[in-house]
Parts: sequence; C-alpha cells; structure tokens
Amino acid sequence: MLEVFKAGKDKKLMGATILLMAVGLLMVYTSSAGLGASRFEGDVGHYFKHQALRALFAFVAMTVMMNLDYHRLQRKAPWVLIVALIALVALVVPGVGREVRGATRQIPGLPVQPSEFARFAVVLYLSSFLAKRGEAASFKQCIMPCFAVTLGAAGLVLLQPSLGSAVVLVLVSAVVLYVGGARLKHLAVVLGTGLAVAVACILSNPYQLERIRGFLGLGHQYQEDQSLLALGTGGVIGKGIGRSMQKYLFLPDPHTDFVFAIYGEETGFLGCVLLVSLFTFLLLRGLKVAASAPDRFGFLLATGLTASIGLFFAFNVGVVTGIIPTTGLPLPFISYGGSALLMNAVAVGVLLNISGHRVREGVSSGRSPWKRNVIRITEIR
Amino acid sequence: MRTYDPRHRIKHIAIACAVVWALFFLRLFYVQIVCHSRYEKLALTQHNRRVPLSGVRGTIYDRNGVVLAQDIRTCSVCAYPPQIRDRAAAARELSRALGIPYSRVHRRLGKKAGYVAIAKKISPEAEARLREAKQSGAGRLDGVDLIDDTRRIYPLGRAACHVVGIINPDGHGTEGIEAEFDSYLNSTGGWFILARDAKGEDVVTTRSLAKQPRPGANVVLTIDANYQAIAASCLRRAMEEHRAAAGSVVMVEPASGEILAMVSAPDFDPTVPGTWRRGTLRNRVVMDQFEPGSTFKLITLGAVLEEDVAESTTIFYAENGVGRFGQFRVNDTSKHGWVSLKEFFRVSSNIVAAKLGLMIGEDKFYGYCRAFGFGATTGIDLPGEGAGKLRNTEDWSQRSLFTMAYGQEISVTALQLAMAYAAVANDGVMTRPMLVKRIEDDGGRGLRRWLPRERRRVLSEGTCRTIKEFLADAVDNGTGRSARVEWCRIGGKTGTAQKYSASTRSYSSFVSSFAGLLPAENTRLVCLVVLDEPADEHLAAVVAAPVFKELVERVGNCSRPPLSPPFDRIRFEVRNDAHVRVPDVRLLAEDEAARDLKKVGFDVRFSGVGSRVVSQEPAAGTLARTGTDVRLRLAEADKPASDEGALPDLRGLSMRDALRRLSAMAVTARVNGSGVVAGQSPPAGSLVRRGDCCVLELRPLAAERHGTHR
Repeated sequence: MLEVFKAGKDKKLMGATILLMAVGLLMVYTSSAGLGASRFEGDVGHYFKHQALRALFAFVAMTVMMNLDYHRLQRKAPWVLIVALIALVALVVPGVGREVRGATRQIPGLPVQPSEFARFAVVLYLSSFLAKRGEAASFKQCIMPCFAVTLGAAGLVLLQPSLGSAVVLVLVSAVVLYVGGARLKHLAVVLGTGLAVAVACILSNPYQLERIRGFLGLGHQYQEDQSLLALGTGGVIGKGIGRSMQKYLFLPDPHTDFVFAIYGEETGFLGCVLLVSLFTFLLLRGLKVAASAPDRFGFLLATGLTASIGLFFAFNVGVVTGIIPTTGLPLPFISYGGSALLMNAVAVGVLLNISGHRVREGVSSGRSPWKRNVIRITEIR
Repeated sequence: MRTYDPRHRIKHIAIACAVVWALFFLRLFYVQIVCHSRYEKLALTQHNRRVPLSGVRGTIYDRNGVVLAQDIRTCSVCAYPPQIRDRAAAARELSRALGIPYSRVHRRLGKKAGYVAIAKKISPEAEARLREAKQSGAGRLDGVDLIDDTRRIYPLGRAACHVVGIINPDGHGTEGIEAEFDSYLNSTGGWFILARDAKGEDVVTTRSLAKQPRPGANVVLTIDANYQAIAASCLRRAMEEHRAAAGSVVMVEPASGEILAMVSAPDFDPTVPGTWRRGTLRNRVVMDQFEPGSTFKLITLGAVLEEDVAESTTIFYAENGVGRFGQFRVNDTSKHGWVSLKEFFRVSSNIVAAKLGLMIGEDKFYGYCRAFGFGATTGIDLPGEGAGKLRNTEDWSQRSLFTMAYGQEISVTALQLAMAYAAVANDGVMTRPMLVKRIEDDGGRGLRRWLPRERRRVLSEGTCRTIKEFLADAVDNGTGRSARVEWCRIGGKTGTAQKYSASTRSYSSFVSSFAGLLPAENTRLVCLVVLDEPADEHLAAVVAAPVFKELVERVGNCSRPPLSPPFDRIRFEVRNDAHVRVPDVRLLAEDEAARDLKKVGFDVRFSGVGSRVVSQEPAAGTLARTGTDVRLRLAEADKPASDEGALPDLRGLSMRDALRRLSAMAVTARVNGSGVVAGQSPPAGSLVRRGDCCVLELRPLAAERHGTHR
C-alpha cells in the first residue's frame, strides 16, 4: 500500500501540500461555521463536510497522478487541450453551463470547472509543444502557436466572464514560454496583447471598473476594507482559531476568496508569515523539481504547474492584503471549493512524479545532461 | 545569435518567488502590526453595529407546574431611517400609536444611522395599534419594524417575591432563585448585523441575521403556589393587625426537607422597581438572625431526653417565677411550683429550662446545637443565607449555658429553626432543605436533579415520639392553645424572645414565633411563623399562634398534597406521596424485587433480560416518593433461580443463542452439525435439572430454507 507513495521522491513537497490541505480544512471549518449555521438551519459543519470529502478525493487524485508516468501525458497533450477547449466553448453555449452570481463557470456534472482544467491543459500542451520543438525556437514556428493557444483559451475564459482566471492563464503561459527560452521581445508581445485585452475588458465592464476605481481610492471597496480590517485586528498572534468576528457576514465569502483574511484575523501576523512561507517553500520545491527534471518536457511542465499554483497564491494574498484589486481567485488548497483543490492536487501529483524521475540517467551530479548544454537560439529576422 | 540557460531563467522565477514573499511579509507587518490599533478601533465601531436580540429566559415553576416567573412575548419598536419615506408622517403615526412625544420620535428618525430603537417592551394595546397603523398606513410606516422582545411576569407577584427574586434591566437575576440560577435561566442572546451596501449605507437584509438566541433552562421549585399564596396573605394580615416590623413564614415537608412555602415581609413587587428597597428585598427567612426564645427549648428538651438526664415524669421546681442562678436572675411569665418535664414544656418555664441546661452541660448542649444545624448555613439554594450565631464554648460567659437553654444568647435563622422542628417531625433525622426540584432545558430534558438527602440522625425515634407528644400537649393544654384546630391534632411551641435593640441598647422589643407540626404524629408539614417587633401585644400565644392557626385552616381546605388525604385517616393508609427509603433489591430475583418494592409503595420497571436485578435507580437508601418508578436492570445470574426448570423451545435459534439460553439454566449442550437449531433432545417443555445435558441438532440455514421450499 505504501508503495504508491514512494513514487513521489520529493517528500518535502508532499509534506507541504498535505500540511496546506490540513490548514485548509481547518480554515474552511472555522470560517464557514457561522455561514453554515445561518444558511443551513444551524448546520455548522455543512461546508466542512463537503470540503473534507473533496479533500479526500483530491488526495486520491494526487496519489494517482504521482504514480502515472508524466511522459504519458506528453503524447496526450493535444487531446487534453481539445477537450478543455470544447468544455470552454460549451460554457458559452446557453443552457449548458450553470450561472452563479452573474458568471457561468461550471458545467453541472463535471467535477472541475472548465477554466481550471483549461489552465492545466494549456500548460501541458505548451510544455509538450516546446519540448518537441526543442532548441530551434523561432517566432513563427514556436511562439506563434503558443500565442494562439494561450490567447484563444484566455479569450474563452474571459467570456464567462472570469478576468482573473484569464489573466492567470496568460501569465502562466508567459512563464512557461520564458523558461522555455522565448525571447523577451516575443514575450512582451504576448503580455502586451493580453494586457490590452484585459484593459479593454475592464473598461467595458462597469463591475470590473468599479473594483479598479475602488482600489485606486476613487470609490468604495467594501470587501477590501473588510478584509484589511480582519487582518489588522489579528495583530501579532491573532484572536485564536474560531474567534474571528469578521466571518459573521461582515466579510462576504469568508470561506472562499477571503479565507486568508479570516486566517490572518485568527492566527495573526505569525500565522500569516508561516503560511506565506509554507507556500513559498512549496513553490521553491516545485522549481527545484523542475530544475532537476530529467528532460525538457518535465522541466517545462514542472515550471508551469508550479507557476499556476504560485500565481493563484500571489493573486489571492495580494488581494486580501490590499496590494492588488479584487480578482476573485481562490487561495490554493485553503479556500473552499473542490475544483481548484482537485486541479492543484493533480498538479502537485504530476510534480511529485517528475521528482521521482530525476535520478535516472545515472548522472552523479544530480543534474540532467541536457541542462549542461548551452542552447543556442538562432535569431530569425 | 543569443544563448539562454534554462537554469538561469528558472532562477529568475525563484527570485520572483522570494520577492513576492518579502513583499507579503512587509505588507502583513504593516497591516497587522503597524496599523493594528487603527483597525481595532475601526472594528469596534463596526461590531457595535450589531443589533442585539434577546432570547427567552427560562421559566420558574412551582412543584405542580404553576408558573412563578415567565418571559412573555412582547414587542420592541425600531426603525431603519434610510428606508423611511416620509419622516414627519412616520413620526406622527408612531407617536400616536405608542404615546411618545412627536418631537422625540422625529428626532430619533432623523439620526444618520441604519437602525434606531424607538420604544422598548411596549404594551399589547400599543402593539395592536401599531400593527393596525402599519397595515392601513399606506406605506407611511415602511422602515418601522416590530422586533420580538420579552417581558418577565410574576403571576404570584408579591407573594413569592423573595423566593423567586428579580432580574435587573440587563436581564440578570439579582435576588432569589433568579440570581442563584441565573446561569441556567439566562438565555444566550443573539444578534443581527447591519450590513453595508456598496454606497456604505446600512441595510438590513434577511440574510444578515447571524446568531439566533437560545432560550434558557427552566427551574422547578419545591414551592407550592397555593401554600405560598396562603402563607403570604396570612402573614400580611397578621403584619397589619399587630403592626409588626417584619415577619416570615416557612413551610417544610419534613420527610424530604422540601420547602413548600417561604414568605417574608415586608415584601416588594417584582415588576415595580420602585418597591425594591433594601428593607423589602431582604428574604428574612434565610437572612435575618434572631434570638428564638422558647421555641429553642425543643433542643434543650431533645438533649435532656436523648441523654437520659431526665424522664418525662421527672419533676423540677420552677421557683415560683423567679429563679436565681449565681448572680443572675431568670423570670417566668407565670408562677409555677413543682412541674414535671411535660408540664415544663407545656407552660414553657424558663427557670426549668435553665436548670435543664445546666444539667446537660456545656459541651453536650453545644454538640446538640451543632447537630441541629445551628451556627452553620443549611446550604439552601438562595443567595445570602445567614449562619446564625452560635459561639464556641470557650467564648461562653457564666450565664451563656442556661440562657441558651431557653433560647436567648443564640441567634438563628427562621429556616434553621424550621429545619430543626422538621428533624423532630422526621423521627430525628435532619434533612437538607430543598428549594429546587430540577432544572430542565426548554425541551423538557433534565439538566440537574435534586433528591431529598438526609444529613444525619440527631435524635432517636423514641425521643422524637416523646417530644411530639409534648408538642401536642403544649397546643392542647399549654401556651399554644390558640393554634388549636378541630379537625387535626397539631403540635407546636410558642416563642416570645426579647430582642436586643442596638439603638436603645436594651431588650425592649420582642420577636414572637410559633413552630408547629401538622399533624403532631406522622407529620406532613412543619410550619414556622415569626413576627418581628409586634407593636401592642408581644406574647407569641396571642400574636404568632393565631397566624399559624389561620394558615393551617386555609391550607387544610386546599386539597393539595402533602396534606391530602385527610389527616384522620393518614395513619392507616399507604402514604401516597410520602418519601420513603428505596429498599435494596439488588441481586434479588425479578418477582422478589418487585414484591419488595411494591410493599413499600413503589412501582417497578424492568429492563434487560435475566433472572437477577443487577442495578436499580434510584439507588438503594435514597429517599423517593412512593408511587414513582424504580427502574431495575436485569441480568443473568451465575446460578439459575431454581434447581429444576422446563427446557425452552430452542428450534430456530442460532447456535449461540441456544447455548446462551441453555447456559442460563446451567444445562450443558452437545452440538451436532452447524447452522440453526433444527431439533433438540429432550424436547421443549421437559423438566431438566442443573447439569443435565441437551443435544442440539443443527442444520445450515440454507438447507432449512431449501427444505421449506420443497
């Protein structure tokens, strides 16, 4: 039985993930108790029970992915991408998706949101594509297709509308392209296009505009104020687990996007720094897995998956601490919600599988042979 | 040509991670530590916008379920100013319906707040007017809301005020049971929160309700509302007639120590705070300490009889009214020569009491005082109980011993004295005074229970019989004559004590008391009446004894236990609701246990299977009301109940069940095959002895079923 856990070599990465999931369950319980009680006839454990089930499911998914050779994913990458795009298109078709608070993000019956799955698919596809192209990376042959896939998927996500997810998707792709050797000029084109679309989107949507205006101090920003209030009243050591006042509906969604604020209120500065450090540790371990991956595909895939977790973390904590405007992105492993938890667990599972492959090839230094080569990129005019 | 090193680029990503970490660290430090106090202040103003919701405080019941204190629903009026369209019109309607000045309502409605309270706990009429106005008001009262609130009512009013107690405006008990069991009675309050919309204005939505209040637990007292009301009215009438400064009445059921009535005067109205003054709030039954006077001769008499210092026929010289004890003089109210012990008690001679005290001796007398519970609190569930004053023998002066023997130089509370009489009525066993029977939550589930508890035996049964005879004699022929009733022989003792007044520094006023047993034998009720500083007459025979008589007459007319069935027949009947010690029936057989319990007057309920009783509830030795269920758990005994028994039909049983049945009869089994029992030898119903053997034929279940199919 324990054999299945030996596939992932990076025990620290696994430990950090399990720890985060445990903290997540605890936080979902304490932050949603009041909400559950008021919405579900006094059932304080309503959200917790759901989340515990999902966490178990996610853990199983992680274990499965950990034992699945990631090279098998490489061959299936285009098909995965096609499935993801079909799901995204299906959301746009009226009547298929389920509308929640003005956005259509779910297809009833599917365990994950299409946008979450699409991010994974895009990272997978880009990694396999760039790995195949190898060193000979030209703009037309290499960057353009990636560009098209990324912006296409991001555009579909934007239609839901889910600006935050789309931005993360573009940024994750940019990271993959960056470590894949894309030239900065080309990256700038990708990011620039993404930015232009995002700005256009914000300007055309009064809801988004209000958020940005609020952030710039021109309007009200109830959530941000309340979230900072929660963090601020936490102080150095916090009020203690379960003692948050803000969760009683001062802060909307205390168990999803703003769970970190409740966490900060209950555990204080020390708890926050610990959690942020734990996330950073997880990211650095992920990057280490990438750096010691046996081949280029593994390297790119590990980087991309790490980046997708990292960007969600950065965006969420950035919003809660008031550094960036409200985006509506969950905190990986901590926030209530099964879809993101599942995909993040899958991502860690793949990372763990990649970490298990690194000692092959018999390289004593622990580095992969391909990394020693300095890759030449021919500039094509 | 350009070169790129993937290791280099991934390092950039790692550096970005570190930068993000540092950024968050600094930001968190700024928000959580630098700005902490600022956010604390902000949070305070925000959380103060919680609107409290009061829950229902627990109800206080008497022993028969009569309500003594209860929260009833009423309404408070509040308004949400942003939702009010026409402020002037709304204010006019409100002031008309509620009778509050227009200008005040108008000003309240003009506040820049999401929620303002208009009026608290309005009357039902005002509520009806307001609801009507809201319906016909064409939207003028939109934004005005009626919130459920509670008001506490005390159906017995002044009669039970000291026992039940009062609550302060914050809803916390400050006197009596309300104070003593505040933590149980109190509801946990709820609140709702004013949300703020995008414009920063307060809004109230249905979703914003955050915490529902939870009702408090109910307290059931041993008090009988009828007795309490009778005692209160008798005491009030006596207070007026004799212009006494204070008074108290306490009624105890001697077998269980349950307090049936406890009244103190002057009293107050629990719903009118203006009447709550220092003097009126005092529960004199447990707080006031007084020198008991002749009623205390009971202890002297008890000690004399128990210690065999004298017999009931022993005669003493009463010194013709003036006795000399060293340099001290003791007076009697009437002159007597030679009197027997019985006559001494009948005429209540101080001189003989003093002589008896000297005969008993300091240490023994002190020991009896302690044993009867004087000088220590009784532990009743009321706040501020006094212990009385009983000095140690080292602190006694030369006159202390014989003065105490007739009840001066010692101070007691009315409750202590009543419990001492109850101990005699209970054949010499002190019980703990009980005021609370049980506490249960709003669903009726019991949270705490009180059972009658014996404290100690202070006198033998024989002594008590003699004392009761003396007490009856004192009423029939002696000082207590004015307490006599026709339908029942009661026992009692008067007491007229001189009271030391600190202002005049003299013994110029009196405390008049009467302690009675009803009836004198098989006593069901012990009652103590104390009147403090009666104005004209001070003799207890004239002041306190008639109060007792009136009390007993009226109590006798209300057919409530413990005084029904009629007294003349009590002795020959099973006492329907007396407290009886539960016999120990553990390890008895089912029928024996049932017989034993039924004999004493309990009902029996069995649970479990087996031939022997392994546990019982209530436990053996505790007191319980006759007629209550005694729950017995049965289990298999090691030995069968009888030596010989009929073999049961074991067919169809599983092997394990069959073996269990056989082993219960101490019959050994031989098993052939497997599955369920299909046949047995000897057959069912045949007599077997212990140690006999039974052969079981077993067949698989499937085959059995198969067979029936065919």
